[in-house]
Amino acid sequence: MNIENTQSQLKKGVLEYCILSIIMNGEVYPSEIIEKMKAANLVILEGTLYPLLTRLKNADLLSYRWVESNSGPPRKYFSLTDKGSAFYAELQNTWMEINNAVQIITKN
Amino acid sequence: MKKVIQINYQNAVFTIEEAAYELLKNYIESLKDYFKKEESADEIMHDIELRIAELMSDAIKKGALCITEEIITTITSSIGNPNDLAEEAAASFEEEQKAASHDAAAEGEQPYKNWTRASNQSMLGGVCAGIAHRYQIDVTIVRLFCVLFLFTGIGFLCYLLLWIILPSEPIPAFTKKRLFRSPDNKRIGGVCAGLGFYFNMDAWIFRILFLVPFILSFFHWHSFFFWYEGTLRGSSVLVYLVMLAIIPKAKTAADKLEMKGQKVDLDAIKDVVNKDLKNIEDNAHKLGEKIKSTFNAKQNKEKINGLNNVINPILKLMQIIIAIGIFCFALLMVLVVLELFIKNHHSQSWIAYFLDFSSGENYLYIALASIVLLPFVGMLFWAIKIMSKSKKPFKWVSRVLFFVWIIALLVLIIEGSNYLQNFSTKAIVKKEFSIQNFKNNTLHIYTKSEEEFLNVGYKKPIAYSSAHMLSSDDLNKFTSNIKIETYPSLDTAWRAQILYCAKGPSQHMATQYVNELKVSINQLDSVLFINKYLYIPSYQKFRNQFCIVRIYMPVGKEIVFHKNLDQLHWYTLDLHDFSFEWQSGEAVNSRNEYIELEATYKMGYDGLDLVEQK
Repeated sequence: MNIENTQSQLKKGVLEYCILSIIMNGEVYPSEIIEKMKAANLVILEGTLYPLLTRLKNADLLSYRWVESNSGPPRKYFSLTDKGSAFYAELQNTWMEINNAVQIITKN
Repeated sequence: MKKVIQINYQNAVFTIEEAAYELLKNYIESLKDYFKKEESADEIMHDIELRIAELMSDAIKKGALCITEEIITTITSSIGNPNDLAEEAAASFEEEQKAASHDAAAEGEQPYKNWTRASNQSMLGGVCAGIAHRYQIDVTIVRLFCVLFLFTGIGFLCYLLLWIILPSEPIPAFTKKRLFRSPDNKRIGGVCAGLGFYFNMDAWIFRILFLVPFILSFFHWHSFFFWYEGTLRGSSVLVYLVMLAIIPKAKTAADKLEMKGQKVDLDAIKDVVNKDLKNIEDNAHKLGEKIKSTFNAKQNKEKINGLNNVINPILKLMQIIIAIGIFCFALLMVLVVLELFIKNHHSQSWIAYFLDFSSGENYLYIALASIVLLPFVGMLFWAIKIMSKSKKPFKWVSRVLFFVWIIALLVLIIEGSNYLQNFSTKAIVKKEFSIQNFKNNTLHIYTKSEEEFLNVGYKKPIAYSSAHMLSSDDLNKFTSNIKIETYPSLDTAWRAQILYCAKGPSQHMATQYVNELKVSINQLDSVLFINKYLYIPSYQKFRNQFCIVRIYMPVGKEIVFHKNLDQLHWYTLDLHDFSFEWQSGEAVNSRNEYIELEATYKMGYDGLDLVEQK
């Protein structure tokens, strides 16, 4: 049993939830997501984020628009679709349940 | 000192160190390679490249003079190298895999108690697949038995009933060894090759099992294979066709693994695919060699060889078809020759007239049989060699066959020259037959009719000819080796002379033989009956015994040879010039010309002349 494996599995499980949560709080572009996650000590590679965003977008959970940037090329700003909001709500419920369960179990 | 170049990247111009540029280029290539399996790889790559451009312009804004290697390294570590990305992704992938295998294991432990129809693996209603799942056997096997069963009316009803009664449910794939048709080492449809894999046996065993009944179905005699009855005939072809239709072809790498009973996982599949690729590579290599040698060859050969490469597969197919044809022909010939030689190896056969089986002539017979037989046996093995891939076991076969053949040839020469000694001396006996005067000018010549001959009580034909060229009873053999010749008479009387001839190893023996020969001739007014057969005592072997009936007739008289004279057959063996004469319907005039039957001839001074019919 590989400890790193287990760690990254745990991380992977909450990744989508966290990303959707960040986008839920307002329109963001990818490097902003990275920054926010870094600030919360959850470090992921941008190379992992981009494919994930594309997959979520392909699943109609996210939509985006192009915004011109002063500092370089235009940026993709992502926001949740209705379907995405519903999906997020469900994930939130699940997370709450798991969180509760884990809290109760690990306290004892 | 570092060289710097300018690049236009994502609609922005950057000044970049050449080494940094190479690094960036390689990095983007590696990412592209990594993401190429992703559904929207282009979009992902576009996003990432935009981000790289953004990070580079950030760096410039922060005061960098140009994009250095360090900046690129920082960017790549923030976005991630393919290896890092793979590591992050791998965790989830392995998790999924484990889950899947766990599911499979859980199912494996489950007892299969439910009768269902398979909704996901059906060919016709999924009844067979359902039964196969219930008892955990290969669905193809169930289908094969089902098809055999369907030929009976009850089977058809049962199938319909099951179709109606059983609930339809999806079932998991069968993971043990399965019966497939193998496309890799197939000869026709890969059925036998697949059976070979399924039962862990050589495919040739099954090929022979199918081929032999098929070939035997062309035979219509039972003496050699008395056990082989009509019901089996052609059924092997039917069974083969059914199997061809029912058994699926192993198309994918996973199929091929299941066919060989190996576990299907990623590594094993990779092995199979690599092996396939290697085959292709080898073939390409061989083709390359061929082309190379073709170009080295002479101009006119070049075209032919080049063409060969193009139509090689067709030629190969034709080669196999021809090989099968030759195999069938050779097997037929071997059986026919064996049958003939074995069937005739007894004292009552027509061959026993020519050969004495109780002496050294027995070896002559066996040598003769071997000489005829062995080339067909060789042909048989050659055809098998063409159809089979392994050539090794056939090397010694041809050597042994050739060796045995040479020995047979030596025996034939030695025993043959001994045999020919029997023909070294010749004896002739002449007997006179006086023809009584008769009223007409015309003499009619008949052989005794078949019916008359039967009435005498003879005839036990030992030869196959309808003319009974050679027959026998307990006392005599009869041959139709009789010739009739006509000559002008020196006086006005009719007269006949019977000339017997035989050969032997010594004058004494030849004379003894010839004295025992007999042909009977009767005269009834103007009709002369000549017995169809020459009588030979049954102990005598063939010593070129024959008989010539010479008819001397006055000039101006007429003669008619009647139709049934065509039952006479003249054959003679002459040792001195090794000639063998064979003619049918023997009657010649003194000029040695053949005489038309049922025509009237008039004797002239130098022989018979045809009388024109009015």
